[in-house]
Amino acid sequence: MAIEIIFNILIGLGILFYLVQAVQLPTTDNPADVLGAGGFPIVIGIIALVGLAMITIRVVKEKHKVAIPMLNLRSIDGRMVFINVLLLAGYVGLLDVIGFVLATFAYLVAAPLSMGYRKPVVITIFASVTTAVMVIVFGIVFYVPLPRGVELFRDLSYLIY
Amino acid sequence: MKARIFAAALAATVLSTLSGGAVAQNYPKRPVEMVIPFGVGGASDIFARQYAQIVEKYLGKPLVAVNKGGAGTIEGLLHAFGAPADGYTVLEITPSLLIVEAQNKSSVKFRKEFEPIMKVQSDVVLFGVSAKSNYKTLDDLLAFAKANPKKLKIGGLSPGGLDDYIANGFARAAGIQWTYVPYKSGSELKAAVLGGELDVYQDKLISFMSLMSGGDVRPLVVLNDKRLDVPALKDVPSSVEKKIDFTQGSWRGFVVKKGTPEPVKKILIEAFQKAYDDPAYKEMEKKEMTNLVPGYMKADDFRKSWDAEFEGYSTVFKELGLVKQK
Amino acid sequence: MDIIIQSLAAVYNPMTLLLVSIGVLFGMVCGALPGLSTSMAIILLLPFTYSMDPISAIVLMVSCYVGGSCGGSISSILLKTPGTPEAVATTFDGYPMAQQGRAGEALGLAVTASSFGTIFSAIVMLVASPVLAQAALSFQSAEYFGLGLIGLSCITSIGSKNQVKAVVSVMIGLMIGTIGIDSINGVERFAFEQPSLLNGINYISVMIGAFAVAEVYKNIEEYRHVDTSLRTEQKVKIKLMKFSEMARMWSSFIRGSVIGTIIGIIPAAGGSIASLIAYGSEAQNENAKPKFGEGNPRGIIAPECSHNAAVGGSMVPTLTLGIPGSPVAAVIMAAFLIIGLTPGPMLLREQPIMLNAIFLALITAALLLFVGGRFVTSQFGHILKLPYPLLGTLIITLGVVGAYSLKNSFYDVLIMFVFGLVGYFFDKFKYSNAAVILGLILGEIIENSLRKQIIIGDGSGMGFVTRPVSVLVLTVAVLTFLWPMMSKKFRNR
Repeated sequence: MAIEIIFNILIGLGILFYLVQAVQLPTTDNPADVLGAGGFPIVIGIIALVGLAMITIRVVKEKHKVAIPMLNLRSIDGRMVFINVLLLAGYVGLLDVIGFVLATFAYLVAAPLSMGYRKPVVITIFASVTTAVMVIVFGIVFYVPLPRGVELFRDLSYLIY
Repeated sequence: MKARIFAAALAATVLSTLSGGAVAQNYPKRPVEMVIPFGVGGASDIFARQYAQIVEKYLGKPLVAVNKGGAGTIEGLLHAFGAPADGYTVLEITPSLLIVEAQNKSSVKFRKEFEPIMKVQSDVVLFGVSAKSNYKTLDDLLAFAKANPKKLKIGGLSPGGLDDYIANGFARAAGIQWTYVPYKSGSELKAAVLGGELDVYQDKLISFMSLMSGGDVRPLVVLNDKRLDVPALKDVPSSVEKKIDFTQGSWRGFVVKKGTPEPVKKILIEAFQKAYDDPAYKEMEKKEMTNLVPGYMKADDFRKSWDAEFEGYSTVFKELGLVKQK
Repeated sequence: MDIIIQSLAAVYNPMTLLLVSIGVLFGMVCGALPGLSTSMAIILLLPFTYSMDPISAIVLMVSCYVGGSCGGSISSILLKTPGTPEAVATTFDGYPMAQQGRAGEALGLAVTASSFGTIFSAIVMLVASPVLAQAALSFQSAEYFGLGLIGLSCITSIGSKNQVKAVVSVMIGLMIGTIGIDSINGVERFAFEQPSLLNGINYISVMIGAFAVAEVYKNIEEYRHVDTSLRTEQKVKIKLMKFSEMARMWSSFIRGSVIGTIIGIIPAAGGSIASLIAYGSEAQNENAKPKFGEGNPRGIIAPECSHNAAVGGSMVPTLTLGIPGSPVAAVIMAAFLIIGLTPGPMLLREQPIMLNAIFLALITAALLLFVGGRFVTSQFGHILKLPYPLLGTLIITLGVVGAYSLKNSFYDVLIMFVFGLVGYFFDKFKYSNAAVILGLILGEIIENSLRKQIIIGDGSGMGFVTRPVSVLVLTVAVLTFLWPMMSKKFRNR
């Protein structure tokens, strides 16, 4: 229950922040635009806030328990998800630094390992084939300008796509 | 470990071939990126893709179209700015980029950071009304607008964009006031005109013609210094002839990042120039009717024209309160 | 008569048939790959059409449109990752069905329904184009607003268990939708000077995050305890249902197709909105078994019929008025101009074969969907055999590439990542991710047309009640909101 209340409070703060921003939006120079830039956001923000209050009251009354493995790092499952979120964050963060090919390959190797899959040969084949297929299909056939990374990595990527 | 040494060695060789004094001699070694700061499928996107195909013939390497349509051209601008100034990244531009700078919306100042290759074409804009409308001529329309300020509705795409400027700039020059209503897409806009929601229709020539040829739209004025040499439009007055000194249209050109080595730039300019002279381009221009008003400009003149246009945008958008204060 | 023979000859010759097949297959592959839209597929085909005669060029693009509209559903059903905007609604029931081991059936329904919808709308296009196009013009801002509200009314159905949470979710979706440059007066809203936020948040990247990535997180927790595979024996194969079983659900086929055709004809509203509204109209039935959102076949049929019916529908105003009926039709119209044809009333007079040729291409493409679908799904079948740690990793990688390819933008990948986490927690606390997406997609249409109508009315909202079509649409919207409650009352009586 505690977690859900914290979650609701976070959402509530988000909506409040949104409302504060919405109120400050400039009015328009067009007098016919009655609602202006802020009108619609204020309406939906208030509805959301009222709804959230109703939900929170019900949560307090009913005292349900919700298990969130991601926040329970003592369980193996929890650790696995948590590590995977971090891995994805790392993958996304590295994309524009070391380029698509290296980042993708590294992620494709690391993620299965973190899920307890230990077959090095299979993982290597899987990672190489997947990276190659992605680069060929998206980068070469469909001309998607995949991220190249910076400096040295950028130059290297020109050798591939 | 071995792999790493190998990679380093490989990288070193690549680097030494890519940089160094011999840039121009073996330019272009790989495909050139053509950054299109618009989404897929619009008029400017299709123009750039077609033109790129012609340039390819003369450049010897493919030009790969890259759409970076985010944030009203800002994302494309930032992308081209972020790439090295080596001539492997060319940016397509339209008045929108100058407008973004005039409104002070982007941290990268376009005119300071980029150098022109050439301006390829201009697109003329027409105003019209639905065929069912009571306004038969421009004078009817202006008379009503003068008597009823802000009553008439004129549509366009995107608030604070080129269409907004044209609508308000024209009104300013003609001494009238009307209300500009922005739409999300050309099709919504056209439907709004035919359905009677909008009083005045503005569009670029070719898409204006497509509605006009069906008899759904009556043209009232061409924003140009003289009438257009098209049979269907020979009776449509130009704005200058009506004593309204406003002839803004759209145009399309290409730039590279400042600092691109001179010899490389020369090769690019040459290839783009040859493409312009190519019969394939002339054919394309004829079909899209972009050959009616002179658009072509060499790099130097192109650069000069930016400043003049920039002033115009600055003035009108300041009046509209659309310039961002920093 | 002559024209009919000429058009038959123009389409049914080996070369054109080959083009139709290429178009369908290419469209399907692009559609099935997340991030590559149908518009992109057509743009990529464009250079090849320069040297073709106009009829062949249009036939190729139209079949690509048909293929692309259907292809997105394959990844929706198998990976919970919609391949195209049109396929968003298909995930709601398609993926649950696949999880129950009925992936083949779901795919079969999707392809059959897409095919049916295409043929339905093609016939409507052929028979009634000019009349319908004029009627479409009575759809203006006031009516778009009503249409958006009808779409939103789905929340009372897809929100499933907790209605209040569904409403809050929709509001959050609407709020996310207001981020970016305000489309009426150009003010930056909630963007905090970030260029990444100026253009708003792309709902496909939100969807890949909240649906696909969040689902992988959930499966990582569970895969060692429960079987998360799609429980298919060897290969995912399209399984066609018996004709009699489908005939039982005829009403969903017809409803979906009619809704799709109408929304296709309305300028600027395309398959993605059509499929959501069609889904909503089905999900009104609360005591359906299985429940909507838990693998009800009608929840696949209606949106699938609908988005493919929008293909034929959107060609109606494109051909007769020169106003594209959907974003993809806008690209096709740009292609018309390049070829040197001017869409509009003159086109059908100058090129009498054109309409028939497009009709035949639509029908042929619709039938070829079965062949193309079989091919593409069998490729996906190989992927699904992987053990979960590999499959989950692959889905996320595909999501990253897909989000990136939408606009070649790194920001979309970030948005995907953030919404992967948000979606995970929303799931756990029983908020509705689907409702968030719904709000995000429809928010713009609703706010935009509301304010536009008020501006057109010089500051007054009277237009909503004085325009007859608007009154009709708004009444339907109100009824769909209240229907679930009313039907409960009737039953209790």
